[in-house]
Amino acid sequence: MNEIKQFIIEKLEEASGIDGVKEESLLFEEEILDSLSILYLVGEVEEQYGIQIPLEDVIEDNFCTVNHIALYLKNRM
Amino acid sequence: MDRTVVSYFKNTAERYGSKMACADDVSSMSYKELWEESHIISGNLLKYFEVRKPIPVLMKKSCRTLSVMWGIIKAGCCYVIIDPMLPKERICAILNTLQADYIVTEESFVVEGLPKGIKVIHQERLRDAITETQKNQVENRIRDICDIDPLYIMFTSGSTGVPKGVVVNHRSVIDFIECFVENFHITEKDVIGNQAPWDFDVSVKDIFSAVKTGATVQIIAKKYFSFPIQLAELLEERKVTTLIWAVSALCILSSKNVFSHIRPKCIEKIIFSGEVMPVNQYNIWRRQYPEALFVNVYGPTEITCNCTYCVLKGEYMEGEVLPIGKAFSNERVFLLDEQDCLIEKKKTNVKGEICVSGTAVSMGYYNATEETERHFVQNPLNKMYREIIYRTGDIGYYNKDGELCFLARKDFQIKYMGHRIELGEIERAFYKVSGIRQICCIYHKSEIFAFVVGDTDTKKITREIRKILPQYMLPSHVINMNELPLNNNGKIDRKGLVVYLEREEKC
Repeated sequence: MNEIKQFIIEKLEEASGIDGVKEESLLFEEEILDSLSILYLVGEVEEQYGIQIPLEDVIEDNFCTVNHIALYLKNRM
Repeated sequence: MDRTVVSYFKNTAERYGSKMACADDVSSMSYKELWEESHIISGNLLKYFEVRKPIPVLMKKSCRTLSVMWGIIKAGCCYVIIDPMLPKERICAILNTLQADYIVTEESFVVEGLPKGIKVIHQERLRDAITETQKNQVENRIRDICDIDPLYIMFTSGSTGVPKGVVVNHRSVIDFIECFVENFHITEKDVIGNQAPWDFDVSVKDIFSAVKTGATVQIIAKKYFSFPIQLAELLEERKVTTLIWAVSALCILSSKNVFSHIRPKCIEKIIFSGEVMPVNQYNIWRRQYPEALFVNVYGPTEITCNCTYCVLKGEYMEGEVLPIGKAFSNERVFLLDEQDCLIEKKKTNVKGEICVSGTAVSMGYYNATEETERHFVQNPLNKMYREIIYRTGDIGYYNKDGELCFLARKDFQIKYMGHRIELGEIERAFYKVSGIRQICCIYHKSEIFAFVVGDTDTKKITREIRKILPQYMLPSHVINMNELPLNNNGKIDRKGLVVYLEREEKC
């Protein structure tokens, strides 16, 4: 689980140029993610873990924090 | 015709008082409530501001923000919305240009690093009941507004590295909005889905079309544009009829196959601008909404929202250009060639600069006389009397049907995600990062590339740049180079860099 979180944080920091993204950071309120970078993140995650994330799963409940994304991925794997 | 937008508001509040004026995720307000609330805010603001002063508002868009905006307008002042998420440096540059003494913000925002001497007014403190005397003062202020008084200032990218504040008065907005709601049949029955951030003038069309007609503004928070299905669900749930959106926002719904999950059924008007709409995306929309009104509108902030429009019929062929069409009434839009001679409509495919004259031409840039005089000039075709035109710097031509088409920019300004951006401004920001010796920005296949020569690694550069530039101006790729190619004149060879990118793509 920690590995997944680490990977997500790394990708978020890369895409946003913001350092110190935390597991509980509010990704949209703090504008760490936006309509473009979420596509990038989804692509990277799909490639890394060999899964397809369907459009109906790209919702706020699954993507609002690093913790939420990691939990979603864990359930998918 | 109404003299100020306050009379739009007054008429609508009297006629449609109980109708919903605006709604966001957590609240909504009727026209009557909005009228009364903004009166109170206005009464509380009077002591801080003389008439015709710009009032910076550091707030995200919401019903509360709308009531603050109207409070400012009723006080005879002009509103300047600033996105609180902008980098500190840019917020300060804007406040310095405005020479502001006060800003209005929310208690929950901690604003640090503002220019010295600026005092903060919390919007929560502007909602205390006002006295009868204050109420009369507000009425007096409303009565004294002239139609040439500034209504808002919108900041746009400036090539010198300093953002430019476009000043727009009541008369220009009334001139434009009257045509806009009439041409596109916006009425009190409409629900306008507000996509645009309020520090961009696309929002002017949402806000003032609604207040003119009694329609409702459904405010859509930025985050929805990351979740296409939730966005479509919101449009369906709130029964949105009208989308006045940036092209890139419309494409979020069409490119992801969202319509196969959910097709918001109330949509009947789709009006777009900001960049060139890809024909395949337009066709996807058209197939979903064969009966809807689709309009391509065009124009920079400096001429008040838009100056031309083209109502699109049916599907287009791949490779066809969606025209920007013809001028709104009471505006003159024409092409000048390099010798400043008029290009006639019947001359098809002849390139020239798009120029605009009319009441909707704005008052120029705030606190920037030289910049204003460079872009707002005497019409070179008129030697007899004073007639100011705005030279857009956009290159256009007429097609065989006599419709105007957009071709490209004259300089290094680009249209990206609905914003007009000077590549020069991005480059100047890079020079502020230590260790960078040379920088060149290229716009290629809808992405911004920054080529950098220097001793810094790209991650550090991106981090530094974020402190200076707003998100939408950040290059998607920063590429470290040993040196930049030069052309025969000794200038950076931009075409060479494009070739470089194309070669990389092939690998």
